[in-house]
Amino acid sequence: MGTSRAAKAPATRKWNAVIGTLKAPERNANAVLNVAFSVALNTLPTISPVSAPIVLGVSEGLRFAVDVREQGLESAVRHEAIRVSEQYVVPSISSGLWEIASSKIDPQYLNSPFGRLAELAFKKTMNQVMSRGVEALPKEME
Amino acid sequence: MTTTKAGAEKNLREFLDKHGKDGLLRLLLTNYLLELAMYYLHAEENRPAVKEDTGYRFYVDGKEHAYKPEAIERFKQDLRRECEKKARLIIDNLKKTEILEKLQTDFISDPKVAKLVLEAFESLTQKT
Repeated sequence: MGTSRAAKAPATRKWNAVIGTLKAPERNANAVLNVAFSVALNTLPTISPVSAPIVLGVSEGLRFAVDVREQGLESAVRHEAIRVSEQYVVPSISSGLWEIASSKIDPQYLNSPFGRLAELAFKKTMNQVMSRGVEALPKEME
Repeated sequence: MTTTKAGAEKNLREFLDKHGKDGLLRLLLTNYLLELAMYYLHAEENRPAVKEDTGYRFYVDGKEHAYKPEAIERFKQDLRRECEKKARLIIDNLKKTEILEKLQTDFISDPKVAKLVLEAFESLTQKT
């Protein structure tokens, strides 16, 4: 029995252009991404569901980072009332921060695919930064 | 080895010292846009408009040959680079409207700021 959780393609013939870019003999990430985002996001009535969850994550992440720099981590987690696991320090902080961010996100956005993608990206980013430090940003992104 | 609280603090401080808040924002937006891209590029067919599965085409070329794992990995890295370009564009737009600094405050209650954030994200549909 199929258990696929993939979403259906946007219901527009324009999506076939994305398939065309993927099938091209020399497929090119620039073309694939430009066409995919252009077609997919233009089918949405507004960009809000895409931007709102991650922007609130950005806000929480930046605020926490600045608090840590100014007051230290102990004080920052106490201030945010984050319960830190002794065994899983970094993931527990990331999860705690996302809980705070998600409490400010409209539930209809939070429970959408974009809310789940924002959660994944947020936790991944905070985990990378707190566990890898400077190297979290790949050399080519500097 | 798991990271201790002291280690997490040291890593976060060093990251900010070297890359700044901009670097954190760029990494977060790039990671998000890559998740978004992978979500859409793994979509199933949606008949009658879309008769092919994008998820299949991510791994199998137009001549029905499966891509080698290293080619798929390379393509993902290329997509990541393209996502970073789009992340930079969003950040530039946020800087232009001087709301980047407001992102660490409870800005969302301000409808003007929320509108500017929306406009910055609308650049996602622009060619980069």
